[in-house]
Amino acid sequence: MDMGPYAVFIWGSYGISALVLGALIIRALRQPKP
Amino acid sequence: MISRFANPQRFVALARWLTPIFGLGAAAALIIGLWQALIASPAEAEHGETVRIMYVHVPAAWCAMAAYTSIAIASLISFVWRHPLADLAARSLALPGAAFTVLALITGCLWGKPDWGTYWQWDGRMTSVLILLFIYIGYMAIWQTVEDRKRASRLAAITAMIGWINIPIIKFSVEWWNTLHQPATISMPDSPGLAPQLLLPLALMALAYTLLLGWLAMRGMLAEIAQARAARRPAPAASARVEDL
Repeated sequence: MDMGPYAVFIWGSYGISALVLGALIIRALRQPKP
Repeated sequence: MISRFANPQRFVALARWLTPIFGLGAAAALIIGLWQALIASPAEAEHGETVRIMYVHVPAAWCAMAAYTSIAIASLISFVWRHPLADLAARSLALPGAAFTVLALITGCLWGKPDWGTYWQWDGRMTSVLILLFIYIGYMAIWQTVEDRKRASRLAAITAMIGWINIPIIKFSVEWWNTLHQPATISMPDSPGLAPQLLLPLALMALAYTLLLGWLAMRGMLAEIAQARAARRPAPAASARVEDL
C-alpha cells in the first residue's frame, strides 16, 4: 500500500474517521438499554 | 404509519430487532468497503492516490446532511403531531450528525491541501458545511440549557426546521457560486460520473456510514427510553442501603 507523497493526508483522514466513529460506537454501547 | 409507532413499547420491540441488523450490516459493509477503498481500488487520473480520501469524506458529508434532514422531519412531526418518539429521534441523531459534519470538514481540509494547495477556503460549500456544524451545536445546546422539556422541544423543533434551509444551500453551493470544491459527480445526469472501480468502494462506504448512523440513532433512542423508565421508578429506601448489599 504505497500511498505516495500524500500518504500522511490519506492515513490522517482514515485515522481521524476511525477515532471519531470509534468514540461514537463506544458511547452508544455504554448507554443503557430498556 | 406515524401513529403505529407512537407507542414506545412497539418501537422498542422493532428497534431491538432492527438494531443488530443495522450494526452487523454496517460492520460488514465497512470491512469490505475499507478493503476496496485502501487496497483493491486504483488511484485516479486527476487526484492520484488522494482520491482514497473521498471514500471517507463523501459518506461523512452525506450522513451529516441526511442526519440533519431526518432531524428536521422529526422536528416537524414533533411540532405538528406531538409524536412522543419524534423528539427522541431528533435528539438521538444530533450528536452523530454533528460528528459526521466534523469528519466531513476535517477530511475535506486534509483532501484540500494536496489537491488545492490549501486546507481551507471561505467558499460556498465549505462555509455552508461549517454553518451546519454551528446549527447542530445550537440545536444540542437548546436541549442542554432549556430546563422545561416542552419549551425545549418547541424551541429545538423551530430551530431545526429553520436550520434546514442550509441543506439545499450546501447541495447547490457548488452550482450557485464559483468555488474550489468540485461539483457533484454522481448526481449530474449528463456527467461522465465515477469509474466503476471508484464507485464500488464509495457505495460500500456510504452504505456502511448510513447503516452506522441508523444504528447510532436507534441505540440513542433506546437509551433515552431506558433513562425515562428508570427516572419513573421510585428510588429505593435509604434504610435498605447497607442491609440489602
